[in-house]
Amino acid sequence: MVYTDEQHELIVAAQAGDENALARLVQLHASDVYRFLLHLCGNQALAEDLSQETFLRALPAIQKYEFRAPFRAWLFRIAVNLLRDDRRRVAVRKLLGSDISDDDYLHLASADPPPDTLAEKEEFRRELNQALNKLPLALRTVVVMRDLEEMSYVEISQALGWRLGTVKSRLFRARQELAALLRPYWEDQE
Amino acid sequence: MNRRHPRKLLSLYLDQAVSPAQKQRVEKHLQQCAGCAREAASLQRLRQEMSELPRPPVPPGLAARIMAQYRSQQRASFWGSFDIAPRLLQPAMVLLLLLTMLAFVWKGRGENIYDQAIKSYTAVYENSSSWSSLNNDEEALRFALNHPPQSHQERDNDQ
Repeated sequence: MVYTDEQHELIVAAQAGDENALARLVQLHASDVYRFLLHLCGNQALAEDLSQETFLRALPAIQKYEFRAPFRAWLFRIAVNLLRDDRRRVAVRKLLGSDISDDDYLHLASADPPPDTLAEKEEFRRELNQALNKLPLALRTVVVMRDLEEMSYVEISQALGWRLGTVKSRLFRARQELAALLRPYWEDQE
Repeated sequence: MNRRHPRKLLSLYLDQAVSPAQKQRVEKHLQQCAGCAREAASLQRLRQEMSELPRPPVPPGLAARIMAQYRSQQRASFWGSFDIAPRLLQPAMVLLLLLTMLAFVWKGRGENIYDQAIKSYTAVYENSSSWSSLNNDEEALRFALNHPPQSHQERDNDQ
């Protein structure tokens, strides 16, 4: 989502205590935050819980938002911090690790049985998601921000508080590790 | 960065985040190095697959649930700011009610008809020397009964 003037006005109104503006901001960003978290944690229930928590942290603190980064990047930063906190808990570590069940990837499956080519595509996506979940959280975050959320290097740098050089090098490492994890699958296909 | 194999530049190259000079260098190298060309192809494929990942559906009513939770949190924090209020509100209300009732009773007691009569007679007879010589309210009341105040008409006639 582009950082537009409409949002600027909305944020200013929300900071002045306009609850309708807050509700509009939630409407505009709830899906982005949910999808972002889902790509990071791979679990729908957890992504929904953390999305709610992200807004419950962000809304009362909206006066602290200083327009230094896009609002979405600010929300993503809160979301990543919450996910990091959550990961520290033993129960959640189970969900984020190798014990993730296939049910967690239902969002990738179609309602009807797909034709062969689509089935292969689905299978690859499942592989890709599993590979993503094997990456350390920092690498997973940067690659999701860049390749799925299409954020610029500068936006990622602002969202995560990393230097630009760090963003570039971690993105390179993330892609390299993902490609290494997927290479056996690609070779099997060829 | 390895000068012979510009591997770290490959990721930036795919994002078109390299300078023209770097771009030229990478492209020239990829033509000559099968290993780097393979790696670039892998990264390109990965990038492509990532961008084609379907956008997962969002649970219906997510934004509404978030706002409902936010409002409920705000209400809770409002009462939280008066931390003792929920616990003490009911006893405080009862106490306030009792005090109000007591105040009414006290005020009624202070202004009964007996006191009002004494007050009225004092206003009428305050200039009389007999009145000022009386010792208590009972004597004052007896005096007042034996000396009914003159009406305005009688006073005018006397004059």
